[in-house]
Amino acid sequence: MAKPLILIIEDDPKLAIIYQVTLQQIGFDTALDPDGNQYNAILSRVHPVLIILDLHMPYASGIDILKQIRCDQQLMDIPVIVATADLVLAKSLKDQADEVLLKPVSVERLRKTVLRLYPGGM
Amino acid sequence: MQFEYTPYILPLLLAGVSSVWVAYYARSHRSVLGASALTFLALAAGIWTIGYALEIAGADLETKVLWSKVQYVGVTTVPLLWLIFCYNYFNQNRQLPQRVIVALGIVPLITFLLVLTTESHGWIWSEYHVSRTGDFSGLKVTHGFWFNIFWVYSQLLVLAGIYFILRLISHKHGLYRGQIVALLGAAAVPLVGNLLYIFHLTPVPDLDPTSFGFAVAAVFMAWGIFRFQLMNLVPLARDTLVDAMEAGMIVIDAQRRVADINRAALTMIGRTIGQVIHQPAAEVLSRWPHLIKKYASVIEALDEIAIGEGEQQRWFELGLSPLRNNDGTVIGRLITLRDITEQRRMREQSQIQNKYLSILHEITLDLLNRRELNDLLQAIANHAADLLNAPYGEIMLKEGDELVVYSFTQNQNYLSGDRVGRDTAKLAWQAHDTGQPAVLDDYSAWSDHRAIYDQVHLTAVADFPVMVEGKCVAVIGMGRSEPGQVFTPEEVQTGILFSRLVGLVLDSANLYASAMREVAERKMTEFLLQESETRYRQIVENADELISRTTVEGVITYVNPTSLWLFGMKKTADILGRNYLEFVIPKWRAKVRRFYLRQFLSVEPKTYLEFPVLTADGHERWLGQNVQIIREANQIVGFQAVARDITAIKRAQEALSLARDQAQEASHFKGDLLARVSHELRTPLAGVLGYAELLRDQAFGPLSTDQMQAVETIAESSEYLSTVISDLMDQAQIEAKKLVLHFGECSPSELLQHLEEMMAVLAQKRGLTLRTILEPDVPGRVESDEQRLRQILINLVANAIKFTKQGEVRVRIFRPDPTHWAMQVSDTGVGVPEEAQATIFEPFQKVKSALTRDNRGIGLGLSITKQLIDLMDGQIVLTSQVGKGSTFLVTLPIHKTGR
Repeated sequence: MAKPLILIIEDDPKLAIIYQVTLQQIGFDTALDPDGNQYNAILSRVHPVLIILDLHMPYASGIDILKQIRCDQQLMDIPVIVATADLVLAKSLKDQADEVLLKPVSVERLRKTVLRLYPGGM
Repeated sequence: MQFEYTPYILPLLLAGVSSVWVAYYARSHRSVLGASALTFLALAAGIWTIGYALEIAGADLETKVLWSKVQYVGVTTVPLLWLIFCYNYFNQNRQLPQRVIVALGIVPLITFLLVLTTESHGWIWSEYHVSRTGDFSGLKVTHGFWFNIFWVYSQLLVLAGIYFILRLISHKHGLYRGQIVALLGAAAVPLVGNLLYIFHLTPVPDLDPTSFGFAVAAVFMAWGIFRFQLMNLVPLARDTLVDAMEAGMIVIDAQRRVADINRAALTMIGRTIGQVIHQPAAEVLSRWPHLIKKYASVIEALDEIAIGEGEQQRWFELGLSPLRNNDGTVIGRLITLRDITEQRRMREQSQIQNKYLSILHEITLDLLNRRELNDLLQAIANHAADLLNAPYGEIMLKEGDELVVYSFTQNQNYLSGDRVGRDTAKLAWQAHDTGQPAVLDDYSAWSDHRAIYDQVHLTAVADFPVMVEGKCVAVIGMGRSEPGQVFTPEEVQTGILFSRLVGLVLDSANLYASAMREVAERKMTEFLLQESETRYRQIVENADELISRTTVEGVITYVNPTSLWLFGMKKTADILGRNYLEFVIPKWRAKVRRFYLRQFLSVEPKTYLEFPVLTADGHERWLGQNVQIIREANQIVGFQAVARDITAIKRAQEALSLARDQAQEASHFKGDLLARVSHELRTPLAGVLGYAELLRDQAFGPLSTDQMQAVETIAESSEYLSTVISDLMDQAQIEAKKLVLHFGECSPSELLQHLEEMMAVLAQKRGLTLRTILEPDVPGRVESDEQRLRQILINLVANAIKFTKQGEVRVRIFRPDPTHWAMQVSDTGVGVPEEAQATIFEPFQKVKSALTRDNRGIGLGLSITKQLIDLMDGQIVLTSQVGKGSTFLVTLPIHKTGR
């Protein structure tokens, strides 16, 4: 059986790797949108069980992506973890996102959060 | 003792046996009054007769004397027993008293004793010898003086008995005569025989014919017994039953004469018994020839007949039945008459009542079908007049202090519009006031009569009150003009019933009327609703706002004239059916579309959006638009928009916002700079921390101890750096007054739990105990900013752990007063010197002191903590002793205060 897949939308490749390694450790597959413009294409191919979303990206707004996900009837049920260094936005998105993690995100915290939102993992 | 045959003994023996048989028969009927006396009487006679037979048959003097004395058992007792029998049997069912019997028995008893001893004194027989005449030999005696006394005494007793029989016969008739004749015969024959013997007139000298008389008497008795059932029917029983009967009874014999009649019948026909007994029935009943004619040849009948005229008339139930003898031939007829006048009167009355009730029933149905008040009242007036057979009827309703004639029978047109006060129609008002019918036998002769009624010359009148819920609401008046035709009590009773009925009908009519009113009110509401719709339409049409409707797809289905005007269109048809986006400036279309799509998807009931539109002549105008979702049956069917032309405002705003933006830019520069710095610091820090952790977790392969320590240090340092950045940000926000608290429900217990999760490991690492205490009186929920509460508590506990080498850190949550709760953090650490306590909560305090390895930090923690507590409207107090430890006490309101 295929492992559950998590979509990571993160423009910082270093952090993307940290997420990927951490998630793979706990039994998830990952798909990466490295600039915030490819997630639509990815979503047409795969069905993630969870999305990890950065807010500030050079050519895309994580907030817009979040709103689009929330307004799309196909996607609105997927849990979204917002990981951001923006303290102000982090607070304002508390209600729209399923969880907001403030960078620097501790690996342990990420693990716990993912497993809480998708207990079907590891 | 010697006997010889003589033919005289045969009839004697026969008579004796007969007597004994009568005695036996009477004894078997001893329940009949007088039967016991008859038993003894017959027995005594039997002894007498048989004794005499044996005396005659005696061959010598001794035998004859012996049996002669035996005879005297009967001779002495027969007269007394006869009297007892007659008295008991014929004398009104009364028995001869015992003491009288004893008294009367003295003479017979003395006589018998003297008979037994007569040889010594000769008082009964002074001399005796056997005398022979042919083949007859008797005892020839010469009676002594006592015998004569006894004989006279005996005749008196016998006559007394006959007296009772004769007394009865004087008022007896018909059937019972036979019985009496038989008895008299039975009594007379021995009496006559005795007389012949006493006066020596017998054909054979010395033969006593008395005993032969008994033989004849027995025959009479037998005849009486068989023919007239002497022992079976006591005459007095008939008297008691028949005469006591309330019903009249007449017996007519075959010759059509009255054979018997009882007292009740005599009273009915008004005659005495002497006038009717044995008279021809036709004569006796001559007053009712039609009866004689009708029933002359009828044997059996049951009928009701009237006797008398007018008030005296009485009704009888006549029963006619045949009387037959044993072989079935008719020997007469029995007429019974029962007075049924009373029953008949009651029956007639109930028939009348039934008739009235059925009429009332019909009237009820009729009245209940009339829904219009005037129609109903007219029907009431007509029915009232019909019901009581009164040609004049009217109904008055009470209106305030007046009775108003609403309806009347057609013959009283003069009553049209008649209104009367108390002083005028006194009779109607009397009915109104008393609640009882007011009745007059001659109205025109009444002193208070109204002239208005003189036109028809009213005589008998009756006014009935109509009560509804205990109040008189109307009066029904009825009148007659025929002299003498008064209202009978029964008619008045019917009138009362009718007026009660009218009360019920009026009450229900009232209910109906109120139902109709309700319907009318509903119609009115509908009308008002329509009107208000019109009004709203007018408001919409004339509004300054642009009002429009679209389908879910955005096709315009309605616009008001204001919209037409703004867009420079002539007709609504130019707009209807087009998509709203066509009117939006092209570069805004996507945004506007997205906005409303989102509203639709998220089902937001109401939104506001400002956007520019294009008019028909190519001008740009700004609209501020409120859009509401239109739902029908839980489904979104379209949007309703109310928009305002905000072009002018927008222009002004633009000008204004330019200036404001410039000002804001300057003022927020500091805060924005900090935020950006924070962001830019955190992003690489995330990489540092992440990789350090992955390394530590040996995600990239095993590490040596030194490497592991180095990685730990990197991780710890980056975590520390992260908190420093957070503190700096907080401080910056607080100073820029941009820090906003997010109040909500917080659980003190969860707060402690979270604290333990976060800090217990750290405390353990430092060899300290972290103890948490939650007092029971602390409320389950307090109103605060949970995130900030955690921050405060973690700050204080982290500080305590940091400055404590050994011992414990204790966190206690309690309730100091009903409106506050408190967090107390105590440690057994180094303590704060008194001079430092004053400034410990100021920002960057630590910066001033020397940084040590144990005591690093930029000194923002406590400052931010205090400022957060201030924002929460709380207090923080430090008590500390150097070397002993410190206690921070944070007091916060349970409910958010107004600030």
